[in-house]
Amino acid sequence: MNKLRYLCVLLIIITASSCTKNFDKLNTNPSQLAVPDMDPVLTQVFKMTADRSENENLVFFWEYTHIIEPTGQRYSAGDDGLWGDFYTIGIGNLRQLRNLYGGNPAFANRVAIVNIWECYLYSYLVATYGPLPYTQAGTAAPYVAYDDENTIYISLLSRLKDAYNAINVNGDKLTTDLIFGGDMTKWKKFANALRLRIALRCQRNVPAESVAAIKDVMANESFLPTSDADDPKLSYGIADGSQSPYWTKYQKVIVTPSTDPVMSDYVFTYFRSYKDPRMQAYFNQSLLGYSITDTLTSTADAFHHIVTYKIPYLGAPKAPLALSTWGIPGNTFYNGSSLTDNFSTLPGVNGKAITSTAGVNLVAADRPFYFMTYADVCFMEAEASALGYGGALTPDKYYYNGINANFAFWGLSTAQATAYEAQPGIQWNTTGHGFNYALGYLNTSIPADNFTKIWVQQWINSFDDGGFDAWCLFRRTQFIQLPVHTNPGTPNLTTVYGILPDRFPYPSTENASNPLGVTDGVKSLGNPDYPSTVLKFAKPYPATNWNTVHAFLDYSEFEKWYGTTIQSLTAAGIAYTETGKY
Amino acid sequence: MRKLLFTFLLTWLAFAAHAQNRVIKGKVTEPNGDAMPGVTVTVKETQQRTVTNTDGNYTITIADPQKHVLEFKFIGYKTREVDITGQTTVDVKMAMQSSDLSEVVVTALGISREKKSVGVAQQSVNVDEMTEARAANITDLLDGKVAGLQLTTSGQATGSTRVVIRGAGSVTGDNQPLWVVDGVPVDNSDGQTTNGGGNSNNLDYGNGASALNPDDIQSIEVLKGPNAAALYGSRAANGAILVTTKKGKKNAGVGVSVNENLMLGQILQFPYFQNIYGEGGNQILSGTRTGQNPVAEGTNGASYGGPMLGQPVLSYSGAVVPYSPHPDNVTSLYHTSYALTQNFSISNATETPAANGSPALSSSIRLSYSRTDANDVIDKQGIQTKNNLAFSASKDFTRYLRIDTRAQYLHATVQNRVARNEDPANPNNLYNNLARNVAIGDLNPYKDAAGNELFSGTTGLENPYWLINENYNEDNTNTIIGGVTATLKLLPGLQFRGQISGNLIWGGRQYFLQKGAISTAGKLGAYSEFSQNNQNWNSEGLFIYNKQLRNFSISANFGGNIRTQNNYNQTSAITSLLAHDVMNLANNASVPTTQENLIRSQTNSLYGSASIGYKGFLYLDVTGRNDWSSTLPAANRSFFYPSASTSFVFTEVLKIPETILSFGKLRASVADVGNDTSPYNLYSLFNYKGAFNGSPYISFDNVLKNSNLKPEKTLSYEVGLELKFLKDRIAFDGSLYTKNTTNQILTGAVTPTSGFYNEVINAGSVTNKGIELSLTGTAIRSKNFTWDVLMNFSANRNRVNSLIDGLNTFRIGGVLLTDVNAEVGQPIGVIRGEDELRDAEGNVIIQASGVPYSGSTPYTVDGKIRSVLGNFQPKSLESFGSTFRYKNFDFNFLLSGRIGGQIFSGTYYRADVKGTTLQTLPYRDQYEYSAIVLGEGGTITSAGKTTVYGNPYPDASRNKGPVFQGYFPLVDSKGNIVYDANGLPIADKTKPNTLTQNPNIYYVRYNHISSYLTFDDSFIKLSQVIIGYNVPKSLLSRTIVKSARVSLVGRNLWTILQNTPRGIDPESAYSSGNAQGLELGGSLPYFNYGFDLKLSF
Repeated sequence: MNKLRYLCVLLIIITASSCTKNFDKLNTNPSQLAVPDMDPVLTQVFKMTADRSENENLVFFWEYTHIIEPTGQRYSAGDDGLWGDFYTIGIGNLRQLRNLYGGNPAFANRVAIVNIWECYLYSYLVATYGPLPYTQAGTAAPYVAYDDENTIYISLLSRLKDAYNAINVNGDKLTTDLIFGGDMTKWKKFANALRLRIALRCQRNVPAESVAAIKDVMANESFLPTSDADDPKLSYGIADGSQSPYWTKYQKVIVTPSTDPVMSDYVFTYFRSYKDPRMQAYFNQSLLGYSITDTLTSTADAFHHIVTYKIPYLGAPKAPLALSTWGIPGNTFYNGSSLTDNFSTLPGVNGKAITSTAGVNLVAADRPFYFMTYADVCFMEAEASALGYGGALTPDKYYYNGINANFAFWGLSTAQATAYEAQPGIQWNTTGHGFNYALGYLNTSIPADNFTKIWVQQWINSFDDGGFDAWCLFRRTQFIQLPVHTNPGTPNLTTVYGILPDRFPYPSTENASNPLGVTDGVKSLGNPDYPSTVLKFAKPYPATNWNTVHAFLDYSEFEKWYGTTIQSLTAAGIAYTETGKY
Repeated sequence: MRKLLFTFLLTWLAFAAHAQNRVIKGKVTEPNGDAMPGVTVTVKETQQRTVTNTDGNYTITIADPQKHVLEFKFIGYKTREVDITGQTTVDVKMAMQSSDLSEVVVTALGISREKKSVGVAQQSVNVDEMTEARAANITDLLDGKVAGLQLTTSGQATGSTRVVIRGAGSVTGDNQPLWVVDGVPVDNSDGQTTNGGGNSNNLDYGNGASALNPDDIQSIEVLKGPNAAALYGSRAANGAILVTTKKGKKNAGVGVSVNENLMLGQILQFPYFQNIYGEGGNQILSGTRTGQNPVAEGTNGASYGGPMLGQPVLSYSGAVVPYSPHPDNVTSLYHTSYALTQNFSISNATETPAANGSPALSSSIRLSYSRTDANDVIDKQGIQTKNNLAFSASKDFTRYLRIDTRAQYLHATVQNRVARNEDPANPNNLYNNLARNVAIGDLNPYKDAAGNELFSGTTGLENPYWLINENYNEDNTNTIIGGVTATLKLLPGLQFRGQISGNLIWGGRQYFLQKGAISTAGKLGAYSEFSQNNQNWNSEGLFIYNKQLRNFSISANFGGNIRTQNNYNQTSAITSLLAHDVMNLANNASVPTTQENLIRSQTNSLYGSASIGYKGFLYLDVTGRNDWSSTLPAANRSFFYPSASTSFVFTEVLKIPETILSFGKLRASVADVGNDTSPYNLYSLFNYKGAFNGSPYISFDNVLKNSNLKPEKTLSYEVGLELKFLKDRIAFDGSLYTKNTTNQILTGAVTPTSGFYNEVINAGSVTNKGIELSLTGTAIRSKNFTWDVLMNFSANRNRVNSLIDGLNTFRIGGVLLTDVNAEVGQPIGVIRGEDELRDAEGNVIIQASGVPYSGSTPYTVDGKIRSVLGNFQPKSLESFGSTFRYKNFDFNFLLSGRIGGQIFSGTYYRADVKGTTLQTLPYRDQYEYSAIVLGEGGTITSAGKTTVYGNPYPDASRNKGPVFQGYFPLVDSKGNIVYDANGLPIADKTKPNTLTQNPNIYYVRYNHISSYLTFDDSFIKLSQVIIGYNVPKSLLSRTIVKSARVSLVGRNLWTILQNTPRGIDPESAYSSGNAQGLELGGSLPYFNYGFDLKLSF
C-alpha cells in the first residue's frame, strides 16, 4: 500500500511540474507566420497605401482640389484612419521587414523598396499633420517624442538618395511587385521622382537641402520617369476584395444620386476660359442639361433675342448659398441646379453612361491608382528648370511635355493639345484673360508669370488620383485663390468650414495614447493643433474677409455657349425657347 | 413496494434481534405534524438502521447501551441527531432543509466539509426553486439568491448572462467567476467577446454554463472570493460557483421523478408611444415618391410630421390610407412565447450491509432526461430545442475502492437567434423607428415578385417581416460535461482520489442574410458557416487525509492537476449571394473567405491544503498552489500562491444559551491568487489577410504582444461573522472584504506610431472593498403556518488605483458618442459622453441658433475630452424573499434590486431622433399652433417678443415651442466670445435663451447630448414568485405516486422601481463583457409565468 502511495505522489509531481517542455510549442499560434516572404507583406503595404489614398480622396482631397465636388463635404479635416493605417499597416510592416531582411545583401534591392515606400508614407504624413514621431516611431511607450517638419524632410531626401544608390538594376527583385512588376530601373526612377517632388515641396523650410536635392536629381534626368510606362501605380481587379475603393463607394452599393461627385464650378471656369478639352475627357455631360437664359443676336434681324436653352456641362458650386453681406438676391445662385442631373458627373458613377471623350470609367473596379504620372514629372522638371536648378531642356519644353502627356493620358489628340497650348495664358510667357468665377469675386486670368502656368497645369493634371499632391501644391504656392465655402459662413477653432484646411489636426487616438508627444508636436507647430495652422513648408497667406469681397453674379462663363447668334444654336442642333426680343 | 420495504425492515429487525438490550420507539413527523414515512433512522455509532413505516413510526433495538445517538435522515430535510440516553420513546419532528442552514457544504476541490469549520465566505443557493420558476439560462436563476452577486442579462432567453461577484477586479480581463461542476472547471466563455460590442453577427450564443440543466443539480455553492476559491488557482480571483450534480438516492418509492414545466413569456414593458404626430418633418406631413401622389409613407425617417388627422397618404403597401395613429403597430409584432420543459429521472441506491468487519458498501445510479422546446416573443425567432441526458453511477467495489462516474450531454439547437444591438437584422429595431401612422399590416407583403425586399423609403430600417421570414440562422451545440473519479482508501484516514474529466463542446452555426434587402449592408446577402470542436480535459490526483487526534482534527490534501484546452474552430463566409434562398457556400458571388483557429493551452498544478481543528470550535486552514501555465513566458511560467483562513466557533466556548444565540462563528482569511493569461499573448507575428488580385497579402499583428508577461495577482483579505439565534431559527452571515488585483494583464491602447494600436502589458491596480450581509430565518412557525425570510445585501466599492504608466484613462468600450472607461481614482465604469457646454458656475451656454454647445457642435470645451456622466457601478445590491407555508400550500416570492449606478441608453436616443415616444411630445402642440397654424416664423416665435412692426404683440407670453434653458455667452465689443482663465466661456446672465426650437431639431439636438440620456440604473423587481401545493401524502397513499406538487410560477413579473424610461430594462447591457452601463437596441424587458408539476414515484 505504501508503494502505491509513493507511486501516486511521484506521478503527480512528475506530471505537474516537468511536463512543461512542450509549452512553447503549445503557446505558438499555428495560424500565424513568423518569417514570411517579403512579397505578401509588401502587397499588403502597397494595397493599403492605394486604398487609403483613394479613401482620403473620396472623403477629403477631392473636395480640396476644386476639380471634383463631392456633395455633402465641408472642408472637414482629420482622419484617425489615415494616421493609424500608415503608421501600423504601412510603416509598421515595413519596419518588420527591415528587421528581418535589413543588412542581408541578397535582399538589398528589396530593402531599398521598403525604404522608398516608407519615405512615400512619411512624405504624405508630414505634409498632412506637420511634426510627427519619426526618429522615435516604432517605440511603444506612453511618450513618443515628435520630430519637427524640417528634420523629417531632410531625412527623407537623404534616405531617398541612399535608396536610389542602393538599387542595383540587375540585382534581386520582388517576385510579386504590384507597382513595377519587378523592374528595378523603374524603382530607381521612382526614388528620384519622389525625391524631386519632396524637394520642390520643402523649398521654403529647408532651402539648402532641397535645392541640393533638386539639382542632384535634375543632373541625372535619365533616371527620372520618361513616359507613362514609368508611372508608379497599383492595379485593382474585379474580384471581391480587389476592387478599387472608388468602385466600392459608387458601384458596389448603389447609393442615392445626391451623393454623386460632380465637376466643381471653379475648374469649370478654367476649362471654359481656355477652351480646355479636358472638361469633356474628365467629366460626363450633365444628364438633363442646365437651362440658361441668354440674350443672342440674329443674322436674320437686328433684334436681341431672349432665349432659353440647355448647356451640356456645368460645375457645381461648393455651397449654393451666398453670404448675406453679398447682397445677392434670393441668397442662392445656379437656381434650380440642385439636382446633380444638372451638373457634369464623374464618368461611370452610379452606372451612368460614360460619355466623356476619354471613355474612361473612373470608378471601374479594376482602374489603377496612380501614385504619380509622367505629366507630374514633367511639371516638376519644368519648375526645377525654371528655377535654374538644371535640366537638359528649357522650362517651356518640360511644360509643354507635361500638357502633352496629360492630354495623351486622357486620350486627347496631339492636335487638341497644340491648339490648347497656343492660347494666351497657356502659351509660355503670355498672359491670359479668363472668365470671372460665377460669383464674380475671383477670375481665372493667368498672369505672365510662368510658375503660375506650370502650377495651374499641374493642378488640372491632378485629376483624379492626385488630390493630395494638389492640396500640397495649393498650400506651398498659393498660386490661385480658391472660392470660399459659404455654409456655414463662419470659421471656428477646431474645424475650418470656410476655407481650405492647412493641415489635419492630430487624431484623437494619438491624443489619448501619446498626449506628451502631441504636446511636443504642437510646440513644434508653433500654433494650436488646428486645421488652420499653416505648416512650415506652406506659404503663409493673408486672411480674406469673405464678407466684404465684391461678389456679384456673373454667368458670362456659360453664356453664348454655342455662339452669339440664335443661328449658332440651330447649327449646333440645340432646341431653344424664345421668351422675348427687343 | 411497501412489501419490499417491509421485507427490508424485517431483515434489519432480524439482524438486530439476536442482541437483547433496549427497544426504542417513536414517531417521525413533518414540520406540520403529518406522519413521515421512509425516514432512515440510524444508530450513529453502529450504523445499525431502520426506516419509518407509513404512519411515521419506527422501532429499533439497540444492542449496546453505550450507544446513544440516533440519526434521522430524509432527503430535503435536515438530518437530526438525538441523544437517546435513558429514553425509550423518541418522537422527532423533522425540519425542512433550507440549504443555507445545512451543516455540510461542498468547498473547493469538491471536498465536503462541516460548514462551521470553513473560514471563508460561501453561500448556498436554493436549487429547488430553480426547476419551478425556470429560466432558459441557469445563470439567471442565481438572481437575488446570493449576497454580492451581480447579474446582467442579455434580455434574450438564448443569450448570455454576466455574473460578477464582489466587483470587477480586472479592467480588460474576464471578471466572471469560475464555474466548477463536480469539482472540474468548465468553459463558461461567452457567446460575446469580452469587451466589445457583440460578437460575430451580433448574435449572442449564450454562456457555457447555460448548458447545465437545473433538474440534474443537487446543490450550488457560491465561493465568493479568492479566499474561498484559492485552490482553483487561475481565475479563482473572481470567485467560483460550485455545482454538484445529483447522484442516485435511495428512495421511498421506485425512484422515478417527473417534472412538467411550462413557462410563457411576454413583453413586460413597451415604451410609451406618442400617437399624435405622424411621419414627416418640421411638423408637416411631407415627402412624396418620385412621380407619385399623395405624400408617401417611408419618405421621411421620423415621426416629426403633422398631427394625424386622417389625411390621405400613400402607404407602404401602395394603397391610399388615412394618416392616422396606429397605437399597436409595434406591439402587434410581439406575441406570447413559450418554453416547455419536461424532465424524467430515475434514481436508486443500494447498500450491502456491513458484515464480518467490512463496512457497508453502497452503489447508486441515476439517469435523467430533459427536453426543452421554446420560442421567442417574435414570430419564428429563437426556436430552441434542448435535449439533456444525464447519467451518474457510483459504486464501492471493495472497501478500498469507489468509482463515481457522471456525464451530462446536452444537444441544443436554436433557429433564428435575434440579432442584437441595432444590427440591421434585428426586427426589434422597429420599436423605436416605425412611424406612428404606419399600420404594421401594410408592411406585408414584404417582398416583390423578384424576391427583393419591399419597404420603399429612406428610413434605413429593414422590414421586420423580411427579417423574420427571409433571414435565417441556426446553430447546434453539443456539450458533454463528465468524468470518472476513483477513490482509493489507502490507509485509515488516507484516501487517494484520481479523476479524469472532460468538457467537450462541438457543433456548428449557419448564418444567412437573404439577398435583396433594402439596407446597403444587406443588399448583396451573405452566408457563413462556423464549426467548432473544443476540448477541455482535466486530470487530477489528490490525497485526502483525515485524522482525529484527541482534541485535534487534522485534514490535509495534496494533489496535482493537468488541465488542457484545445479549442478549434473554422469559419467560411461569402459576402455576396448569387441567388435567393440557397443557404450554401456554393451560392457564391464573391471570393469565399475561410479562417481556422486553434487555441491551445495547458496548466499544470500542484497544490495542497491542511486544516487543523481544535475541539470542534477552532480551525486553521492553509492552502498553497503552484501553477505552470503554457500561456506565460518560461521565466514567469511557474507561480505560487498561498491562502490561510481560520474559523472560531465562539458559542462552543462561551456556552451562551441555545435559545438566544445557538451558534456563533468568526472567520478570517487571506489569499494571494495568481492568474495567467490567454494563449498567444507573448509574440506578435504575421497574419494572413486575404488575396489581392490573386496575390496573398499578410500583415503584422496590430497588437504588440509581450514576451515578459507576469501572472496577474489578487491579494484578498476577508473577515466574517456567522450567527444563529433562537435555536437556529434566525441565521445571520456577514463578510467584510478587500481585494486588490495588481499586475493586470491589460491590452491597452498604444500610440499607433509604434506600429501597433494596442499592446499587452502588466500594469494597473484595482481594489474592491465591500460588505455582504445575509439573513435567513423563520419569522413565524406554528403548526400549520410558517414564514421563512431571506435577505441579502451587499455593497462593493471599486477603485482603479493605477493603470498603465502615464495613462489615467482606459477606454473599455462605447456606443454612439458615449464611452465607459477605467480611470485612476475612480471606480471602473466611468461613463463619459457629451454634455452641454457650461461655464464655471454650471450655466448652460447657448449658441446663436438657440441650441446648447456640445461635443459635436463647432466649439468644444477641450476639443476631445468628454464629460463624466456617471458610473455603472451600483452602490448596493439587495434582495428580499419570503416563503409562506400553510398546510400544503406555499407561497414564495423574491424581490431583487440594486441602488445606484448609471446607464446610457442609446435606444432612447434613437427613439427621440425618430420622435416615436411620448417623451418627444411636449411643446409640439404649441409649436404646431405657432409655426404651422399661425405661421409665426423667424424671430416672432421667440418667447419674450413683445412688439411686432412697432405694435404690441398680444401673444408674447404664449409658449410657442421648446426652448433650451441657458444663456448666451458673454462677448466682447467685437462680438468674440470671452473666455475665463480656464478657457471656459462665461454666461451672460442678461441674455437668457428665449429662442424657440423646432421640436424636430429640439429633440434631436437634445439627444446628441448624452447627459440627457444617462439614467439612474436603480431598480427593484419582483424576480420570482412560486405558489405551490403539495398534494397530501394521505391522498396519495393508495396510488403509486409518492409525492406530487403543483405550482404556479412567475419570473420578473413586476418592476417596482425603475428610473430608466419605460421599455428600457435597467438590467440590459450592450455586451456581457466589461463595458457595462451601455444600452443600444437591446431587447424589450419581458416576463415569464407558468406552471410546474412535479411527481415522484
